[in-house]
Amino acid sequence: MSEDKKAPDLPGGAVPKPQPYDYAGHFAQVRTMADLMRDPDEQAWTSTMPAQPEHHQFVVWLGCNVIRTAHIAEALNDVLRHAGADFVALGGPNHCCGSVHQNKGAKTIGDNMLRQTIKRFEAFTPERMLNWCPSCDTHLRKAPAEHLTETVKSRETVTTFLAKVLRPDLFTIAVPMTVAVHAHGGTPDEDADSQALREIFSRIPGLTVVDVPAVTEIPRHCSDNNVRKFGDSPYKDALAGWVAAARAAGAERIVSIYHSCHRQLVLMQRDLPSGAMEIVNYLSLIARSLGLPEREDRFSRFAASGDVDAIVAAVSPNIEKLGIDQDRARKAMAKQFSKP
Amino acid sequence: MTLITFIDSAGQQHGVEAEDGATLMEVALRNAVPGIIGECGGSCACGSCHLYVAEDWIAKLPPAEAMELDMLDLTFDTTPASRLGCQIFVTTELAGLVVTTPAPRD
Repeated sequence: MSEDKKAPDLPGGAVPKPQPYDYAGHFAQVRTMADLMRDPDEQAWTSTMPAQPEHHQFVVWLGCNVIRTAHIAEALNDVLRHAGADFVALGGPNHCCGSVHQNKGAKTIGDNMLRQTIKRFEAFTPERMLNWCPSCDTHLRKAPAEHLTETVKSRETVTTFLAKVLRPDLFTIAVPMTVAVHAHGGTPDEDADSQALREIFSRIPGLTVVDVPAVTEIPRHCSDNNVRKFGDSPYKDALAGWVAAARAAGAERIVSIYHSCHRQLVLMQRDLPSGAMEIVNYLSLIARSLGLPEREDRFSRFAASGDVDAIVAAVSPNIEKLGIDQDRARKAMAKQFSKP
Repeated sequence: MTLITFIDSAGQQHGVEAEDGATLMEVALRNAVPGIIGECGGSCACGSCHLYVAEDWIAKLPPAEAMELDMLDLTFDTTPASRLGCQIFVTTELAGLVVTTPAPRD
């Protein structure tokens, strides 16, 4: 019997059933958004396991939520290919870390999800796992030790990996821009990613990074769960202060590291009286400087619009090509982008 | 191949020849059976392959393991006949199995 079921008996002997949460609805939102936001001709991540997985040197674990901002996953794919890495990127609900269950109190199911995801990594017999999502990493740290393989234990973040493999001579295109990096600080992992990003940015000709304080009030990244815990209103206030500091320091754009921060920065800025600063993910800047075609940040475009009819019209090629149900598409877009 | 009959919430029967070793979720998806979605890809983590097993088949199926029971606990509209399609593997012993899929949720 799982821990989820160890609840006290109610009068009459009934056992309380855990509060149902619509996990299917959650995953449906992620999957649908990803299909609507991605390049309809090529999916940059593996969502369904092949019948016979082939060996790859690296498994890139994207987690599930990054594909809502598909351009980030696509840019990562482009950059890793350009760097000559032999990898498979696993993303979407099939490769969830289980944190969505954990956050709802369903620890056993979360652990089970993680165990199956790890089994999928190992099917590619990788030498190394590169981890994208801070929530997945946090969940791994809390996972039962018996679930963790050597591949998982020796993982490193995508950002620190890129700092090692993207040689300075690869950055051939100037990116004349002054940016502030939205970084979280206070733990070795956060600081390592921030440091790695600074190293990479120092190789991009023309790019200037201004100093703004790292976010220390919210751990790791601006996940929905972290923002909820911190409080929507305090988050907006903190963000307004942070954006103002970036602007005062001379930044023209804000650079996000993680998908979750990118999403929140874009969405929360819609309400700022001082106006929004453009958010750009660091992988987009890397791609630009490497001379790779830039992936459009549809998330920012749609968030700024908030017009669900126009958004659904804009993604109609994906709806048609990928055979997505119209109602499902509309629901997903409305849930993510309609303005309150 | 093993004959499985899915009955959707509108009462329509879908008799399909299922490949041994596949899960009922996979079989349903390949044959576009309404009511089975498999949002989590068969990881026993979402409940969207929930189905109801015909009464005379309940005892003939391998019993649900703890992780399936855990997920069923969090799945909507379950009954004692509820199972998750991603956890039932087709074998020749299942020839003639009848399952009903739930009505779509809004």
